[in-house]
Amino acid sequence: MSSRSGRFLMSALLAATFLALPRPLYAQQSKPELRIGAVLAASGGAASIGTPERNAVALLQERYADADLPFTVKIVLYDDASDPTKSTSAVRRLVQEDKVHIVICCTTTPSSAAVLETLTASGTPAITLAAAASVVEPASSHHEVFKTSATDRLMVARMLEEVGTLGAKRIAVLFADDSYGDSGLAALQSLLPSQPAQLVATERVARNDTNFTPQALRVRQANPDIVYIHTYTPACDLAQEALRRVGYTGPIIQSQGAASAAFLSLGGRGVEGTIVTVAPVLLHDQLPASDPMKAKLDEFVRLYDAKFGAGKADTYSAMGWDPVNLAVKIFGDMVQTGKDVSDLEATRRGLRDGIEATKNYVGVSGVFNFSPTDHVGLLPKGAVLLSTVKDGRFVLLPN
Amino acid sequence: MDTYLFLGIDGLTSGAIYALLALSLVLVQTATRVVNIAQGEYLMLGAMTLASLLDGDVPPTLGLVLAGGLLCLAPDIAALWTSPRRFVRAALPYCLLAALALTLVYITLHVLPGTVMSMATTLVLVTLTGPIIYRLSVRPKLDADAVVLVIVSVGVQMVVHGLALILWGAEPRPVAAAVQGGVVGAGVFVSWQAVAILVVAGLATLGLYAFFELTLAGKALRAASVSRRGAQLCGIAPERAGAISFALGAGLSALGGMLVAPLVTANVDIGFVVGLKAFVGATFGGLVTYPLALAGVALVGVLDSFSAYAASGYRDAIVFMLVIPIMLWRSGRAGQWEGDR
Repeated sequence: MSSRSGRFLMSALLAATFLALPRPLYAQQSKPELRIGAVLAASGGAASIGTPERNAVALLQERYADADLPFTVKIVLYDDASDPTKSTSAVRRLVQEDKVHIVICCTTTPSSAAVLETLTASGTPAITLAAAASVVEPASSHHEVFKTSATDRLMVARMLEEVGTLGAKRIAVLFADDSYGDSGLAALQSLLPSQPAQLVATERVARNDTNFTPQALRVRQANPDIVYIHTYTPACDLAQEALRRVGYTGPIIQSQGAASAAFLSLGGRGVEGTIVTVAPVLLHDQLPASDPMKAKLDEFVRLYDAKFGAGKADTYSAMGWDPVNLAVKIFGDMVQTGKDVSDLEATRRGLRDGIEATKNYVGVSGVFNFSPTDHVGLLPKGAVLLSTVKDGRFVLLPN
Repeated sequence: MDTYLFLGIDGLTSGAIYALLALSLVLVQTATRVVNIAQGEYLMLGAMTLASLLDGDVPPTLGLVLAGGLLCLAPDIAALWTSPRRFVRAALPYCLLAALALTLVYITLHVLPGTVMSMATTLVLVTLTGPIIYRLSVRPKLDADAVVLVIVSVGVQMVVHGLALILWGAEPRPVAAAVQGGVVGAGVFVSWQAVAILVVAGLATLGLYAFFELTLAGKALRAASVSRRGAQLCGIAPERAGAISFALGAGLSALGGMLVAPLVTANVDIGFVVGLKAFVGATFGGLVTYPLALAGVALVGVLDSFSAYAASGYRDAIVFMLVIPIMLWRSGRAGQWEGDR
């Protein structure tokens, strides 16, 4: 490369660097600052879940940057590539170097379990997005950790209610062979003894299987009244297709893993009539006006779709929405009541106590009533809705 | 009892997909000594590219091919000033191939849409990625230890998978089968797609056999795999043999991807596990013999199917555990073939 073009490149780079510098660094020294750290799986195996979560957080990051609040909100976003080791080092970095007040972590259950120790040791409150109830329960050993979306336990409980309503006695289940399936299965096994129904087949399926017929044959052989499928797309579609192919004609209930537009477009006519447990966000336009969450949901969907495209707001993006808003609200309360938010540890403690004392907080994943023994604060009805697939869309079933 | 029929047929269908990959693995390993961990990613590229084309989008693979081609050409760009003629000579094949890729994509999207044309274009695009990846990853390390080449292929796998995730996103995409419906025999429904998979895998095997037996390039490739040095002395450039084997391997794997996509949807994660299972099958032939590799993948496919029926939670464990007896059996016969350390 000639020296002339080299110099040109250099000056262009320098100019770009100056242009890219943040706007005036001196402007915002007087206001207190809320620092939120988020570690989500934007790549790796859980990327299809982590990406919409991250989008929602990034959207709020933008909105709060321009918002007129008595404090500023800084959000630090890291990607853990669905790897618990990376989650742990990211959270450590957030806690020690970025000195965040609250952590939003993580997308997956293994990651959320891995970061628990770091959070507990530093007394940093955290809101997890993982599905398993085990990442927040029991609350006594998860003092710092909260969850602002329905757990798989709530989902399974809601599913079993429906099984009871339908009068089915023999349930066959197909669970994902990863942490999502493991914890779902554990929830089912703990809830089942109190139910009249009995488990007749328990099969495992992998997300990337090319062949679902063997498990479907096993289910058919057990002669169930109802089949519950607990995995993600595309496996939930393919498992259902395999069941129909081997001649099972009874009802099928799908977990929240199937509550996505992808499930409908992949399944086509084949998934008509399937019962799907869904998060409120997917049915926001069908909720009655009297529903307390209606306004929040409509606003979220409008903002999110405006940024990422129509119909993009889904269960996972909704899961990324509430944690940030809740943290901002609690911090706002602290600032307003004149609490000192300059001390890092005291502020962390204050946020934690604030979340635990929160009652009737309306989010997009439910209406939350936290308590020292309940760090999810949701009831099965309300946070988990049941829908049926009709003409290629989810239609709300009456509660 | 139709259960066993179901299991057997579905096992063989998966086996046929693994077969296309196992053939690619053996092809690449014999010609270049690369135990290609990334082979499954070509299958993924095949599935994703087909999904894009059928949706009427410009497949990101086109961008990958063009950018990759430019990268391959980069060392020659320096020659542009000193000897323009040399540059033109080096650039000409790249330009022709780029023009071919662009034309095919244009025709598929605007002139002659349809499954067959889309599949042909996909095949060409993914086949082109093979030599590009070879040029960028293996060729700079031609004399390296086989272990180094394995690690290089692990790196390639990560890069390709990561790029695919960025380019296509994580959402699975439905791919319509070329022929809908199927046939019912003995109470078992078999989709035409499954039949097509078996037929195409068979044809591909025959085609590969004919290529190796009847064409000069094929014979050269075989010679290069028997003795690299000897082939070199006979005027067969190992770089050329490597590029051809990577191209063929990519094409065969892409074919597998296009065939399996209608059954399981196209998503960026499908490549890796299928690649590993094909690898288990290919170890059956010590990664060097085609017929044994085919027997191996048939075994893997059927075992996969039956173990999923018997104990679905341990399905993958059972299949991958198969490597151990295979290794024992092969090392018992180790004297019969020359291993490459």
